Amino acid sequence: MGADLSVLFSSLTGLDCSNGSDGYLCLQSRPSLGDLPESCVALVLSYLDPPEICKLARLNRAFRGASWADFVWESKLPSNYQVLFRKVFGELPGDLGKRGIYERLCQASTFDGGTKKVWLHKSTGGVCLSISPKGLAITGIDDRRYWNHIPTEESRFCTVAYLQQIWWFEVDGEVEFPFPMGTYSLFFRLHLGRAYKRFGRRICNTEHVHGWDIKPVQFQLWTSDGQHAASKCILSETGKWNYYHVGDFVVDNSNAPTKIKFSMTQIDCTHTKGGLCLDSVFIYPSKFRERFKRF
Amino acid sequence: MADDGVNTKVEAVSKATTETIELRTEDGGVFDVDKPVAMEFLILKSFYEDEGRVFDKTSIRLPNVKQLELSKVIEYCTRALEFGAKSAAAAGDKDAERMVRQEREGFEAEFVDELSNEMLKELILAVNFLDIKEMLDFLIRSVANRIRNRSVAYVRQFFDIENDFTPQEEDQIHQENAWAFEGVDAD
Repeated sequence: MGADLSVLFSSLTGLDCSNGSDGYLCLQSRPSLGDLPESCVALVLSYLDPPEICKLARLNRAFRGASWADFVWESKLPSNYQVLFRKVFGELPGDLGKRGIYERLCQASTFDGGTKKVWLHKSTGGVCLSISPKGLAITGIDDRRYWNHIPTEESRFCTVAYLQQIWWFEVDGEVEFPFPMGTYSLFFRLHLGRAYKRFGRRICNTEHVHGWDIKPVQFQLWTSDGQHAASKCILSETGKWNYYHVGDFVVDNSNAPTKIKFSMTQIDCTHTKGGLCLDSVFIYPSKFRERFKRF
Repeated sequence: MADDGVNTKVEAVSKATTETIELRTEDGGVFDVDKPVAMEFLILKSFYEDEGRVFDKTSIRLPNVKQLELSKVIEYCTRALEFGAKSAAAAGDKDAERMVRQEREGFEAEFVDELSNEMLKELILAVNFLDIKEMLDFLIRSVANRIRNRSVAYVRQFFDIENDFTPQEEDQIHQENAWAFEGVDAD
């Protein structure tokens, strides 16, 4: 005498079961992994990163459906994504669905009068921010003997600030943004020499490059909660864009926006310096730091 | 609620003679399973609790579960209960908690290493049927680890699934997913 789970089994899976005379079940067909309920597939997807989830949406209908499941994307979004969304777009997400919100936030969005861009790093959901020269306080920026804005394809903002020469080199900036909790690194993206295209080839004009090898440039950052980082560097490499690491800061609490100030200076007035392109200031999650460190 | 559950498990596991249930697999295997372990199978738990059946030594046939799978399930669930008890006993002692965690991770790594893709799939189906949440989560995580960074073709073969899209649907899918692959985030 034994209990029979056939009733439970058929109600769970909807399979047609018929009892054999000795109590064994005869099943119509053995379910395969491909018949797993969409919720199980979604669970598998939730352990993968967003590009992989989207890649596997091509497998079949169950995978496609699962790739849209809200709970899968909830875990990928930054914890304060609603605040982020409102800061950038000025309104709440509405009925986009979590995947739609993630996708929207992954596109670089401009805010603060066109001076800043923010986006999520696709694989990790990390918040990345970029500040254009127009969002920075650059000493002498309005004097065309010193600085000029030149259009270029090599910048997210389509224009960079080019320094011909100056005695007092100082670039300051500040940003207030609701960064999610984590550690972030701040960089200046700089280029020694002025690049342009001739007959489809990239040429670098270094005629104005001078004065960077005498004394190092000083970089600093401060946060409103008392963190401070500093570094210095002799700029030497011409002809390519480099990210100069200023330092890191930690965001403990994503309920209040983080306020950061930063600066880059070379104010030794015994010599002039010039021939420098300033693209922007970048803030990235620190785990990407190693990809960018140039000194 | 969670604490009550663990305490009950600690009591149950430490009983010298525990009640058992006899489970029979579809390929003729017979297993005497300790009640606490068997009650991890929600399909059995609800069979008894929801139906208000008195728990007595009885034999249950499990359709669609084979011997090899059931023995693996019992092995995992028994160890999971032990780890749960050890974890509860170590509560508050950071070092002890870490040791239990590492021991568990070691066991799980070994457990899954020994499973072929085929066996992993069979286990998921069995565990999904038996409705064992913790083990299902563990197996699913293991599947994710095995298909991560693999091609679509590989994953299709792994799950043995057919492409059931029309060409128009494929185009649509390509478009709606393109955002995840285009451009570079950092220069």
